[in-house]
Amino acid sequence: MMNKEKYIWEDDRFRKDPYRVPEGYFAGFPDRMMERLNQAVTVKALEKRRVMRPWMAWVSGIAAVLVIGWFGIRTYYWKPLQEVRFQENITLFVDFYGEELHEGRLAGFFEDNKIDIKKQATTEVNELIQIEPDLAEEYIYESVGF
Amino acid sequence: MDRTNDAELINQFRDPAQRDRAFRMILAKYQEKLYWHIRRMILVHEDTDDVLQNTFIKIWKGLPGFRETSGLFTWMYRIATNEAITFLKTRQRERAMIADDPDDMIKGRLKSDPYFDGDELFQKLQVAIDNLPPKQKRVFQMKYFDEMTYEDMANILGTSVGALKASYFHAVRKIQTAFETSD
Repeated sequence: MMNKEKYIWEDDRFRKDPYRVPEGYFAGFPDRMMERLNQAVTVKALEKRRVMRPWMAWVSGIAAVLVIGWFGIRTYYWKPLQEVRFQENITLFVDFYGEELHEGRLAGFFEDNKIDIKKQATTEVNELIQIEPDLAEEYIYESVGF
Repeated sequence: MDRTNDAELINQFRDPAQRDRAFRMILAKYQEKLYWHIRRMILVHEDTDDVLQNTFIKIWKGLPGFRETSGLFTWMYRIATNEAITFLKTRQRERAMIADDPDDMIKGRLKSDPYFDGDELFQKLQVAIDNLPPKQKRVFQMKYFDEMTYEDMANILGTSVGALKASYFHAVRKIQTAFETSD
């Protein structure tokens, strides 16, 4: 028995998957997927339309100017030590993982640095966007629940 | 992989009038390959279905900016791998909270999956694979189940053929040991 099991990967029956899928799963998957994508696009379009009502556009514009101004001043004059450390850390972090970097690790990194990405999609995230744009974009989408 | 056809599909996807049709073709062409890649990592059908859908949502979002420095399938394969790893990490955290025996959990999940027909021996193989370090696990699955060449694997994982051969060798040794010690 042991000898038989010892060479288990040489036995062809193990290469035949014991896994199955529900009947018609692959035939129906493209339709289900397209429906889900269309729903996501419709929801996004509706949200965009709602968000872009004229008075909201004004409020968002003013808020954006204030936020950008505040962060500009903060970055230029203060440059807190924490931010400098963050820049160094994230560069090391991205270099260290390279191809192995994924959202799970990224989430852990943000957690370790006490960054709530939902509230603080600011300078820290911008740093990441410059270093690893695709991953940052994916992670931001994920975090805001798109 | 058929890169010419893929390039055409990507071009069609970038044209809003042809987007849906092109994406349907991408789905039809690659859904099964990606499904089985994810399934071998995650094991259970329901979870695989969720991860596969999330993978295709990422592909949909990412395709307009896809820089074509690698083949389409290689890029999608990476996204699927990352999605599966993220899922597994979440499950690992839950597993740590429950503090149950991980091997029993895998067997339990397989037994409760109505779309799994494997016997005890195959469950044992899955447990042994699941206990491998992440890189060895991925290399073993790609080589053993997907029967990929080392060259294709090197292209996807961005590593050398020599390193992959070493990883596969270590993985096989560990699985062998797991079988010997479990009896």
